[in-house]
Amino acid sequence: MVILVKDVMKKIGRSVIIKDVSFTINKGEIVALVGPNGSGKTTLFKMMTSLLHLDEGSIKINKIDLQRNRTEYLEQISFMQDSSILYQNLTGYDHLKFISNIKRKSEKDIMEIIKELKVEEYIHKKVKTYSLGMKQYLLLGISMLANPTVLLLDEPLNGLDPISAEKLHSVILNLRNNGTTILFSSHNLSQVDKIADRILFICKGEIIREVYVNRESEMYKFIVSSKKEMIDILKGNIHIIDVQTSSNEEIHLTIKKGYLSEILKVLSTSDIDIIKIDKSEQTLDNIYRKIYGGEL
Amino acid sequence: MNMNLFIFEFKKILKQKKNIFFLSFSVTFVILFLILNYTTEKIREEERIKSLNFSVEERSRVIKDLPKILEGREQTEIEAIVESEKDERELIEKQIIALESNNWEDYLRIQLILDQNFLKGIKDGSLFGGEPIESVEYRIAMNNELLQNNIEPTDELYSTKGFNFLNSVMSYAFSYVGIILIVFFIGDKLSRELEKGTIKFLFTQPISRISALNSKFIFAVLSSLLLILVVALTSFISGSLISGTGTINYPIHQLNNEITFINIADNLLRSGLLFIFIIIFIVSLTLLFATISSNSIISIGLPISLLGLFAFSTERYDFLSNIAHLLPFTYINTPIIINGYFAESLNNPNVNLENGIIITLISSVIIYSFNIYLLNKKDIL
Repeated sequence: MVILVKDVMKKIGRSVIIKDVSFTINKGEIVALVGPNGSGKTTLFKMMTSLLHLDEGSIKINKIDLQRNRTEYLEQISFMQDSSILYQNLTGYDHLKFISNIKRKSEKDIMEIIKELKVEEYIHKKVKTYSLGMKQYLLLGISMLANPTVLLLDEPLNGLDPISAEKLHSVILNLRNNGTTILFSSHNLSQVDKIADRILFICKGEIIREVYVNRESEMYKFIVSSKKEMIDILKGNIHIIDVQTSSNEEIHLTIKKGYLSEILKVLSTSDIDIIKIDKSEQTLDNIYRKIYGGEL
Repeated sequence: MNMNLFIFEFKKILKQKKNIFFLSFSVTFVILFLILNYTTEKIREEERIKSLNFSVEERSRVIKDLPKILEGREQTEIEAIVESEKDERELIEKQIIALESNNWEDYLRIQLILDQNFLKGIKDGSLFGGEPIESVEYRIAMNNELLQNNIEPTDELYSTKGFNFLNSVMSYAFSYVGIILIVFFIGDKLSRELEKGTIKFLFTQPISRISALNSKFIFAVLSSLLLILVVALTSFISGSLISGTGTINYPIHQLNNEITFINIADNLLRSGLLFIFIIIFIVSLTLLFATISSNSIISIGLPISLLGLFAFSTERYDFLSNIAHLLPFTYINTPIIINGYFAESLNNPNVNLENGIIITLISSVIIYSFNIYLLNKKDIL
């Protein structure tokens, strides 16, 4: 594993903002941190980048402890934060040059990033003239230039139009393909669904659920005559990934993509009446609604 | 020292309009001050000749009226007094000629004779009132100093000669005016970054917080010195262009038990040296307030308020006067520390250059160390 977060706790004043958070992330994994505003996502990122001190617990990257060896720890990380961290009177190039010197990168590396992000047009202009999207690109460029082991992105899609969001998506996937481990937070569940391998749901400073994203699956909502009988019949079926039930006769089935007909064939051999079948288009939305009680 | 951070700080300062404003403001202030001094210097020169001519006229009138005024006294006594007045009138006439022909040596020599005669008259009781004795004694000492070192006299308060004008401007720059300007100039270096959130850009990089603080500290000190250097160069160059350079050996009065002098070079060197330590102290203080408050109004306003508070109360309260030499704020107004005025005014001879350096340095080290501790512990929200 690359990232180890263990029993981390943070108090600000008397309020406990982060409570006993623990998780691990493996090399090359893309993990999304999802939760409503004020759930502790940004606080957790700030703790992982030493902006906030830990009250309890430990954070390690490649076994390097944040509290014991802060500078060496930060060598491994790049943190894409909100654009308010940029110096308004400096140019985008000034920022990249600073990072390249710190990370011992060459002028050629800077030029490659500028070319890759297609920001040549405005990189020598002052940041205060940039749009929010331009600033996001610059922040991404800064993170990419550092060529980190771990990339942390706090709401990276904020302020991006759909095309830019798509571009960011492909950049993140490229970084992962080069071995970078990525943890990001987002409100955009459809983007999370597209990029993340795993999702950590956070609420009131606690990780309350962990979901592995399986893009080879589909989710269907069945309303049947006998929920119990259906569960018994489908038990052990190799095409079923997950079964969730609700209070009435509804069953949510997550099945391997393209295997609905196989499931229906099995059910047709029983006495169960299928009253209704609906395909759930946004499975992640459903999970989110279920966790946060309709808050989206 | 992280060179990369240093270059980055330099870029930030270079691209901030506020810094250009401060430099322009300082240069404008110096030019306006020069114009004001030049005008006053010329008026005072004209007044000096007018005043000497008036003295000649006054003495002629006295010589004419003396026999009537002194009626009843012995003729020999009256003649002696009239003769003395005639001698004085002759000396003043010669002084006018020396002044108009720019023969400053003769002018000073005559002034010395006139001043010594005045002192003699006061002492033997033949003269009453007039100029205070201390002021005449000071002028005698100064004129002797000028003659011995072959230095042309110039208006002590309003001279626009390069070195003299530099000394005048620096007596303001090295005092509260300069310090307040510097606090406004550098007081928000750290607090603005904490306020705006740009500090997160630095603090999430693999560089220690101490390095970031060090680079800000060094840059704040250097940019303050640069500001003072710009003011000094503008003063010297503009003054020299208008009235010539003058001499760096021009005597500057020191307040001791007896009248002593140091030259402009020594005065600037001593004031400048103490002022560097004052800058270090003030920069440390503004950085500490920035770390504690993360607020520019506090990091600028609090040091200025403290300066005001100490400036107002040190001379007023005896207990503060007695321990004034242990307080770093005592040494802010460096010219009056160097010339001994503040020590005399506080009746505390320990208020001097050496103690100033030691106290401001110790205070700065304590404040800076405490700041390092706080900044390392600080949560950046």
